[in-house]
Amino acid sequence: MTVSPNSSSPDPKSLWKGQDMTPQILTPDMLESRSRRLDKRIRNRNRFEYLAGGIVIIASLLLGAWLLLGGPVGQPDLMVGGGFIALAIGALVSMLQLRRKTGGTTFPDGAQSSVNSYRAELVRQRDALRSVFGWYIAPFLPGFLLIYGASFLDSSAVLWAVLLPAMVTVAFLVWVVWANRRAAACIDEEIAALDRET
Amino acid sequence: MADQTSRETLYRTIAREQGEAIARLAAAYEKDAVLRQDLEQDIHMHLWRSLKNFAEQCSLATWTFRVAHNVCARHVDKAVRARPAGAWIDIDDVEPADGRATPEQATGTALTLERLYALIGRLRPIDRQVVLLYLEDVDAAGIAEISGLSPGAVATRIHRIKALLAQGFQSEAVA
Repeated sequence: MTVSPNSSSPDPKSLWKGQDMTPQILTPDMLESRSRRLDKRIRNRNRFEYLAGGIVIIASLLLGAWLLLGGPVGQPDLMVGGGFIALAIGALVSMLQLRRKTGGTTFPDGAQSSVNSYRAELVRQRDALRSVFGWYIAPFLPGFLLIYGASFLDSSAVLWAVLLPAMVTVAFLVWVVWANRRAAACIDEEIAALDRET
Repeated sequence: MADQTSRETLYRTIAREQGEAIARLAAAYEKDAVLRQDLEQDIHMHLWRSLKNFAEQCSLATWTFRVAHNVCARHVDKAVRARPAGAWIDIDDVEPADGRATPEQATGTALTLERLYALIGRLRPIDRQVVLLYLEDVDAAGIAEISGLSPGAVATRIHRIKALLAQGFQSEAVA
């Protein structure tokens, strides 16, 4: 599409500022109410994250305890039980890291220039996404290794029944890392563009 | 730090002097009418919150534009992440129309608001900010202060914007 010169066109600034706009002016009460709703939304999101993490931790701990304390235990039971305990610890570590990396919501501030503020936010997000293996995947690996390792060592287990879920797990973890790194690359490009201009 | 009374006074000043600019800004960042209304209210809410920390570090107008653009940048943040590399276009990649346009082109087109919105919507957030501030009649020094871009980068962009607006523009970036 090409737009060509037209001497009868109004001045772009006048055209822009002349738009028929009805600004929404809020009262202090409305602003406070909206502000409280935002705080509540953030609190609820955090609670939901803790709840989801808590369910995983409790379920893993219960499974691990049931396997370890439920009766005479052989080596596979020890490994699987230990694996579930390790998963619970991994979930706890991951949840705390998630809170540290993505929590602590910051609000727009007029003291910083837009570029600085925008860049800081982009860097925070990029670093969290790029290092997702270290803080989100790695804590779960000991648990997965113990659980799948026990199955591999069990001579009575059918190979494909062990191999298939292990491969699905690995594929899922690889996808999580890939998707996050891809998102980080998009953000990185935006940061590089900003840096060229300041 | 502003107390409650001075915060209300500051907010009233912003609403009176920048209310329409904020509405236009929200419109430039969000096409959907309902989401636009929500975005505009969010800008006001974040301005209200931010005024607790306003201690005349800069002018109130600069503060307002910074907060408002930051809220809008966060609004489009998901789009930044979702877009594949290269989906944004640089303002330098928007080509002015050939001055020797065909008679059909010369007589049949004009710089419309829809086209302006379409162009703005495809720009990188920082280019978008410069275009919007320029359209709001903020001078180059003001744009540099608000955006944090170097004066040279602002001057280059304004030169480009003026050329685009004067000559018309093509919607497609040049590879």
